[in-house]
Amino acid sequence: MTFDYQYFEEEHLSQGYDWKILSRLWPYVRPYLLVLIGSLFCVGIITFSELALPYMTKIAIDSYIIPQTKNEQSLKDIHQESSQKRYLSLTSDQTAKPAIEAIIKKHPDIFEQNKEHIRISYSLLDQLTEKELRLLRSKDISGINKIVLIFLVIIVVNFGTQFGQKLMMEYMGQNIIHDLRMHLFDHTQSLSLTFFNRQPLGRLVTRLTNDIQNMYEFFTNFLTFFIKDIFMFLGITIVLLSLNWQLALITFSVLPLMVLASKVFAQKSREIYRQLRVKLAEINSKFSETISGIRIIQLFQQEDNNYSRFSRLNQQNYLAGMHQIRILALFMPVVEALGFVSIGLVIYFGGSRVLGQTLSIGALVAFISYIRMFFRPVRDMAEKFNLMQNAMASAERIFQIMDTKPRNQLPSSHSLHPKQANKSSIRSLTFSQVYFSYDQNRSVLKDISFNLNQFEHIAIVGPTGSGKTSLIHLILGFYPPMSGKILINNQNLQSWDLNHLRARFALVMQDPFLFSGTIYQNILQGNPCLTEKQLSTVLKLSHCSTFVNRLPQGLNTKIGEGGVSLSTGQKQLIGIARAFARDPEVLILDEATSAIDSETEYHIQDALKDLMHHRTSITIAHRLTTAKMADRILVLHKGNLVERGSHKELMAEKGLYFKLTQMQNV
Amino acid sequence: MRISLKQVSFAYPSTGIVILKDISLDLEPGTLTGVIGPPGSGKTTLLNLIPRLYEPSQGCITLKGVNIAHLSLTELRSYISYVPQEPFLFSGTVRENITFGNSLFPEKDIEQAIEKAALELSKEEFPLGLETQVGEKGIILSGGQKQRIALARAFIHDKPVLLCDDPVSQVDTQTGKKIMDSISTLAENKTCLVGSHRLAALRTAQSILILEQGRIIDQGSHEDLLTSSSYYASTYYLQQIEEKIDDF
Repeated sequence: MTFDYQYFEEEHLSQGYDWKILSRLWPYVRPYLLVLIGSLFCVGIITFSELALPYMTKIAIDSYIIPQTKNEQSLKDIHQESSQKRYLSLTSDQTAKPAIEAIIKKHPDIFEQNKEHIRISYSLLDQLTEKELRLLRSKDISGINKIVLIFLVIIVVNFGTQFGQKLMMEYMGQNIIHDLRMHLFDHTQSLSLTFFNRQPLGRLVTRLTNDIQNMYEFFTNFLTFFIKDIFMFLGITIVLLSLNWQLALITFSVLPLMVLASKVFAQKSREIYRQLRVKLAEINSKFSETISGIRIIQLFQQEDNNYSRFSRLNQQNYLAGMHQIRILALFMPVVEALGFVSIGLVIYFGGSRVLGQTLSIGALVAFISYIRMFFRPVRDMAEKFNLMQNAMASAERIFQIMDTKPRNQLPSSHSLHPKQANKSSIRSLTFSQVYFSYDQNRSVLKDISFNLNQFEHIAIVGPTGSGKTSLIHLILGFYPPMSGKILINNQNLQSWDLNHLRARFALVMQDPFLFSGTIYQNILQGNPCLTEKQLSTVLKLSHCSTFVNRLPQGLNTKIGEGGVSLSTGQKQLIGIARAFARDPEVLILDEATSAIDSETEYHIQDALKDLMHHRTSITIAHRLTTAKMADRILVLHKGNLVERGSHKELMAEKGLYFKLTQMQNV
Repeated sequence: MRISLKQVSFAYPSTGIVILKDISLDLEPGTLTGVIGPPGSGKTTLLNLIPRLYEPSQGCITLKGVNIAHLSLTELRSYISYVPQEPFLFSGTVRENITFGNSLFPEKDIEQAIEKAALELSKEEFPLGLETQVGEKGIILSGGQKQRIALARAFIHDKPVLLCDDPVSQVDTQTGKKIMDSISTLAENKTCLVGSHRLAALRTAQSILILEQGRIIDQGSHEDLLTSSSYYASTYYLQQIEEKIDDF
């Protein structure tokens, strides 16, 4: 019992494709450009405010907590006396205050007079009482208060802009995703049936959900954070260099290692991310497959087998996830460690500079704060790079679907410039040497040529699998022919707007597809603009009134899932009503084969006769009595048009049709 | 294994729509029983009641005299092989789809099952033979090919009860004959119930039931029904014509 169902990654991301994808995403971003610019502006403010905080700390320390004397002369003096001692110098304004003068007088032993300056060693400050200290440093205290106030303002601004930025970014992201999803949905709806025959349902659903979600991540998370990280990185670099370029260069010395670690991380985790995505798709596929095949699984008692297969997939997904975590768990501490190394270096070199009085304590503190902020964007960028890779892969797949030409290369129904609606009525339908195959291998229709004129009734006769239904599919443009031409009014079918064209056809099937809803809704589906009066005419003509009136809720009776079940005959009558409501130019009838009670049968025949009056019609005839009434009969056999003509002509020909009638008379 | 249905009725619990009414029926071991009837007459539902995909609303079904409602689903289904109307293939190879990935089946058995199901693995359409990928991510198969893979699957899982829901609906007459011959042979030592809209396919059945609107309206051998049931006779001739035309 060792096998796995095979799943394949559909395609790989080609290098250098990213720019192309980004340029294709641009049209979706353009309507929200102002929001994007606003958001980026906010990012700038956020970055600036975050950068400002450590700088404020530096000012607080250097200007007020441990004010530095900028006087060159005094610095030299200090050096001579003791490089270990730091002094709090008092300005002449301060000493002029009587309260401070009194303190100086009270402690002549600890204050030193140096030329114009009066100063006091920091180490001796504790000999003063708290009250004296407050008085002595009142200017510093008010300075710190000011800084704290600015700090608070920055925090409030930061808070406000973060809030605003998040709102704007989400607004943009959600809207872009909304548009992208609608576009993809609209496009998917317009694709030809051939496309759906080849695409697994699960894959399409994944496009509309997972891949779109990835794009959302890209627009909200990646775009802002990546830009913010770049802002941060550049901002801190500039601030560090301007604070002390030598120390900044020392800090940067760990950067190469950091870049290397990030690169390795990005590479490793990209592989894992891809693997995870594949595993997720496999799990989804397995799940959906299990649900659709549940009957078989249960009947053949494959639950345990299936369970172990799923568990294997799940385990692989788990392992890939853990692998990713291990890489992340290793990368994060590496970044942290490098950060600490860098801080260590700054403390070592910066510390001695502080002692050597070439660097202020505040600058050192700010440096350390900045370094802590510095490595975050570096780390984030490595992570975000994966997010982008992921999003690009998703975008590529989404565009792959979008690049699939709708139908037989007809424009989407919602195009801004729809093909000119051809107002003239359908005068002729011509098949000219049409070949058709669903899978390129087996031809379903071979060399079909015929012509149908306005108000003519033709019947298509032939055994099951002779290609009757395929012929109808081609007329309605569900599939393009493999070769040959289908012309309407001598104009190629492909040059007609399919939606306008289909609106002039009505298809009445032997088992019409009714939506769950009321009978009324189902009839209106043929023509939503039906008036009350028209509706009653339609009901009468289609012979629906009799049975509808018998239903407890009449037209408002619910049918389909959870509603009343109708007989096949009643369903057919509703199908006919729908066709009447549509008032089509061309009628396509798939004649009933299933046994229906004779009364309903009579109603259906009568209703159909009315419906066909003064219209062009094509009937797939299962009974030769129906065929007899047609103006012309086409006899299909194994995809070939073997005979054609009126009933009389065909009978005289004594070919397949003749044999058919003979046999039916047995 | 003898299967008996005693006054079985079935209605969908959600809508109350009655699908089968008062069906009484004995399926003898070693016989092939056929069910025919227009679409919607209840053939599929009848087949689905036996492996308890649905439970009857009234009446009971017994297997060797034991009410199947008292058997565990696992036990009940271990006696039954089933070919559904809509064949379902999983992503995987032809072999995996036939064996459900069970590598314990001898190669010879697989070959036999394929032969009985008249499945032709032509090089053009199945380049890797049994190892060709099918299903969601594999090659696109025709309905007939899928149907034959589903048949091979049911044949290799050799169970005392064989249920087939329209097993030849999507293959041509000749292939259909081959498949029905296989089923007839298998039925010699199984209890076999086959629903079909193709009457000729069931000609060899010991007994044929005609279902209409959920009721058994007639029952008998092919020859009996040709004279007793006008529905059977007319449908049979109509289909004969179609088959003859097919050979035309």
